[in-house]
Amino acid sequence: MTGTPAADDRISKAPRERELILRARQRDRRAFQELYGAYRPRLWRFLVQLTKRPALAEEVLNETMLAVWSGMEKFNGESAFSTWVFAIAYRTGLKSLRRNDHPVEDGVNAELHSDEDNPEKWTADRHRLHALQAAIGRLSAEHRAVIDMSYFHEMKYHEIAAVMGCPEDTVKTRMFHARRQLKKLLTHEQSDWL
Amino acid sequence: MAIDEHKSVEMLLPWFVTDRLDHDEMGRVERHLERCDACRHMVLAERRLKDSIAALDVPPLPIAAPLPGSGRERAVAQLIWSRSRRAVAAIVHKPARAATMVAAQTAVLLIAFQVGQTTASSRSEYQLLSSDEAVRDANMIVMFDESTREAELRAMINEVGGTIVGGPTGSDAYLLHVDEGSRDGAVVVLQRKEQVELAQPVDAR
Repeated sequence: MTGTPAADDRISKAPRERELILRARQRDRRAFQELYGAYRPRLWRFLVQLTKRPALAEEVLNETMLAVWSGMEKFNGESAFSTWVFAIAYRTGLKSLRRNDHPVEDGVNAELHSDEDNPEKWTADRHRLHALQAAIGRLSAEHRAVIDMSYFHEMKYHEIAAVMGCPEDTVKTRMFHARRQLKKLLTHEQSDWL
Repeated sequence: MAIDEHKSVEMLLPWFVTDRLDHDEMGRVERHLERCDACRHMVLAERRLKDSIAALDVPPLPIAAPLPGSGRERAVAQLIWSRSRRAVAAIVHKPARAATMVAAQTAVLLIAFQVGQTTASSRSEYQLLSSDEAVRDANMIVMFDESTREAELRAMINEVGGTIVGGPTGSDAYLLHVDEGSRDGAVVVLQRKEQVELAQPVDAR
């Protein structure tokens, strides 16, 4: 799997993580446990944003980690380990959404609504974040995923393309439309800052 | 200013503010920003959006499920636990289907697993009682590509002499029982199928 410094660097920039990956490929459970602990919070955030259903996200998270463990031997180092793991999570999440009849493709999800909380109880910042969360919830799963991977997980667009299994230009286009959709979904006052 | 260049740079701005462009692209964006008020304005908005998204609340992490690969009991318990959580989700989000889901859950869920290394509060999550002891016999897990039709799926399982004893979960994972003597061969056969995303023994190694 490895051999050159460049190839090692591609798998993971962190030497410790590279060591854990190699050990986990040899079925070392302690190494996998450490990887599991490191990835769980990131995947949880990603899957909650992708599915908008914590119970579903939890199930997908479990199945993702099971698939990662089972497929460690198939990880060939052609992409970063994190990209490979997120790709499994993304595919598993989309499959689960489809199975549960939730929209996945581009477009506004009209079935998801914001909470009906009284805005007056929020400070300006909380109100803005609340409105943003609600607006993101109305985007398609694909748009939510590209937003979360770009802004929160700070992935490069070519990494996102690898996770989503699409061309890089598609990622840029999805991001462009997601952002425009967000602006549309926020009221005029709330979208001023966007 | 070329419209194409403006549009092309605008598409890169989300990764400009996260510093995730390569060196050449960073230079290209910076040169464009020197002469484009609109894009400079958008960079400020991108930064606000990025900071706001980082500040969004996410529900706390659930109690860790048992680690995959740490024994047959844990793997099976994990799937069962997944199913229980899914049933809860169905109750919350689809009230009309709740009765059906609970009935299905009762029919399938089983076993009082004593899962090691879990907290007292999480342990109760795994101690699910039911009369269906068949799931105890699960010795293999398989996940199919979502395009796989049920008839194809069943044909593949029949081919290896498998019996479905649990599933599907939300992402189409099934628990199978295959005679111990032919189980390893069944795993290999299924792993070679294009439609199979994962086929794995679920006992300890």
